[in-house]
Amino acid sequence: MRREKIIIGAGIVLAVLPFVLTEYWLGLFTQALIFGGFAMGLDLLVGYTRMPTLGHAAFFGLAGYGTALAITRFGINPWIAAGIGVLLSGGVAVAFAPLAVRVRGLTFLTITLAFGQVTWGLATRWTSFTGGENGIPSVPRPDFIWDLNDRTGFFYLTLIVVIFVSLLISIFASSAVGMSFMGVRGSDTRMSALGYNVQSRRATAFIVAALVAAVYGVLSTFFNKFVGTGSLSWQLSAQMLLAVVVGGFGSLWGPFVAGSGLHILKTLLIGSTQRWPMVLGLLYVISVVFLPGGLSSLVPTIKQRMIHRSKGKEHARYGTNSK
Amino acid sequence: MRLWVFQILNGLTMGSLLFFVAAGLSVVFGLMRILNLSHGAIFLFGGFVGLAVQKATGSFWLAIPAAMLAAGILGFIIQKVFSTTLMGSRFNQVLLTLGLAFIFNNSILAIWGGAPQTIPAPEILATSVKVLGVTYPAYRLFLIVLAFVAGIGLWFFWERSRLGAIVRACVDDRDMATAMGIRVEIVFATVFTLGAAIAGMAGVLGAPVLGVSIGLDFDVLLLALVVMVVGGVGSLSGAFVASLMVGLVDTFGKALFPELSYFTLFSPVIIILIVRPLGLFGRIPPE
Amino acid sequence: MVQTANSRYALSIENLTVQFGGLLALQDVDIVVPPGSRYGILGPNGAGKTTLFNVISGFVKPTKGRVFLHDADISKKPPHKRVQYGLARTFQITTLFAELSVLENILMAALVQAGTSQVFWKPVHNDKVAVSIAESQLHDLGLMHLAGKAVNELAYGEQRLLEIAVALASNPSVLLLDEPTAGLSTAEIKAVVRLVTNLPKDLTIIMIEHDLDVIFDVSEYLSVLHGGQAIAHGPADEIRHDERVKEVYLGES
Repeated sequence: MRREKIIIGAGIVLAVLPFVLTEYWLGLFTQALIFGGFAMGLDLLVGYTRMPTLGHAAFFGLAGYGTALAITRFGINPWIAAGIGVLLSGGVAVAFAPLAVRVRGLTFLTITLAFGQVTWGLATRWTSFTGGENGIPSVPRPDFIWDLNDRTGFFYLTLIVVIFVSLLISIFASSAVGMSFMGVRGSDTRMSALGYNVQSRRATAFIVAALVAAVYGVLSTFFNKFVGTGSLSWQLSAQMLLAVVVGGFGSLWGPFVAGSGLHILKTLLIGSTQRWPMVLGLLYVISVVFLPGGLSSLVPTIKQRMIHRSKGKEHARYGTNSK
Repeated sequence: MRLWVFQILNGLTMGSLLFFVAAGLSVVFGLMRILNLSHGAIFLFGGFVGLAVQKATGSFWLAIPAAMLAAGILGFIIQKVFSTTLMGSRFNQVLLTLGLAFIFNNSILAIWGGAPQTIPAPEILATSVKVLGVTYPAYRLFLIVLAFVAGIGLWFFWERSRLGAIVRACVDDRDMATAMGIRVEIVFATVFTLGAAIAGMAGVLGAPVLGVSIGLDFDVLLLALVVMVVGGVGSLSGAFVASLMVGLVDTFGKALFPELSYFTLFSPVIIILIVRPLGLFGRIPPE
Repeated sequence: MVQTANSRYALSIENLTVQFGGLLALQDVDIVVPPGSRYGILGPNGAGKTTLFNVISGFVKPTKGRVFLHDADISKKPPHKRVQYGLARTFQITTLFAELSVLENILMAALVQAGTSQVFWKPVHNDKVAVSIAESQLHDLGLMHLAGKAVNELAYGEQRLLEIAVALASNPSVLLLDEPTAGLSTAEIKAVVRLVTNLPKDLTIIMIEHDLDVIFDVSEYLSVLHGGQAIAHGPADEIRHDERVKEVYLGES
């Protein structure tokens, strides 16, 4: 339960941000939370189950497009549209996952990349429906108890969603299913010998990560009041994969911090130069060559200390990595 | 009918170019189990170097060896500097070479700018030829012929020559090859460098058709990846057949259903891989 | 769980042939294993012993032939389904989950038995039924003191014991042990033999083993594989004196 307490604690601390940040920075942090959350969900797939994907932006973008199209083309209420967006992404993930998990490694990477490009290609080329390169502008935000058109108001909605989803992910990760993901990563032969349907576990990880991406894709569309092809791009998938790597596999908090940090870095750099891909590339190379364990590997001392301290107190807990 | 012939020729042109890119990618992967995601960027790098040389000297034919040399050197350096990581886990390879792809992409942008450019076809081929009832650019026919010649040449090298036998031995069983006294690491370095050099050559060869522009690196990488997994990694004949297939499907998809072009290309690919996870001619699990 | 009392054989293999390309790994092998017996599979390297285990547990599809577990035909079942029929196995190469603790490794099997391996809404350590299955398993095998350790902190001998413990946590009626003593010291081999001989009498154990002392010590019945064919079956004492077996196998070692 420690991790859940940290999430709630961090949420309370972040709640003071509107009082200390300017409008610009508050907006930036809102987006940072969204991308951090996206990366945290991806950690279940990439970190826990070790299935490197270069296509999960597809589920982020599909949900955004689904929502935006439902509102602007069909006049559907934004809340229901949000549900449609998430269902669209989730539905596509449910259909695609059983196929994708039949292959591994390089072929999995290629297939996810190809799948992402299919969605990107549709959004780019099917101009009459999706707006093509121009995307879909003027997507209205939904009505809520408080005003969501206000930066502070939207920040608080985002914070609530992020806390809620992070709690769900955290509990999920420590559940039997979450542990089975680690088992699949360790040895899938052993897992099937123990009675686990490995393919269905891999598919589950894929779908759950897609659903998390979808929720944040909708949130991102509402924040920007816009959805564009960038939300489906392989560059975004690559950025999210990097977030998990830099953050550290399977730590959940590491990818969250890295996902947020990368977005802030990107926004600040893009403002002045066109050097974002260079920075992204260098971060990849540096993190692989010099920091293979990711950010979370920098704090094993703290973790170790906590385990030692809790040993005497918590009798029923034998987890070595009590994440 | 004419339109069909025209599109078939276009598809074969595209397929021929893909073969040059994918052959290097596939053999490097089959041999060294290294997935080089910066292969597309090396292709583009070759294209831009060729462009610069062509501009300076006016000679298309000089641009090709120059690009091969530059791309080969780049490949050699990558392989030398990152050998530990490249020989390590697949996951880290993917991340490293993906990072390199971004770095190269952005460096190319910084050096040569973002405007799409092109290398004109060499004068002797800058004409059109009547073939099968259509008038078709001679340069493109040249590419198709070249790919077939190169394909056959590579096949002979691969299946019949002593060097080919050594490379094949390393693909099939690295430990056995070592035991037989083959200096595997030298074979690896040579193949990696050659793969990069061929990608660079393809960058120049492709320029009169595809141009040279930022973004092409990724498009080409994706298609080459698809060719490689569909053909079966490490298989030259697989790469050849899959290149032509992908070239044709891509061309027809774009011509018939322009709005769904990615869909028409990748759906068959996904189905093929699900039915035959090792690819059409594959023997090595691509993990 | 399938009932075990009524069936004639815990495991029976009929006419099993496995072909890899041009290579016959197994050829027309028939083996029957009585319930509750200790059954050894003997044979030189490349005789097809591990292939046999892989067919029984479902990782290799036979070219021909069938596998029955307590009279149920499991030939077409995927590996994870065979666990429901009461089958469990260990692996020659230790494939434990290195990053997890000893308890968590066993828990992975216990969750399936507790029927809670699909639970995603509460932490796995709060699963009282599964945790108690896992703990009692460790307790029975005298490994409780290792519960909180990470697998990569264990000695190799301890890992081999844990390997068996994990398989036992699947609550099998038929247990396949693939060279449980490979690479162990004399003292460690003794520990494994002690563990195996002390297992419940109604558990059927089929074991591949290279150490002849161990296999004659533990097994009541033996089948001898040679070049993919089963060349002899019978009680351990008979096999020990079988001339053909001496020729192809015992004579070599």
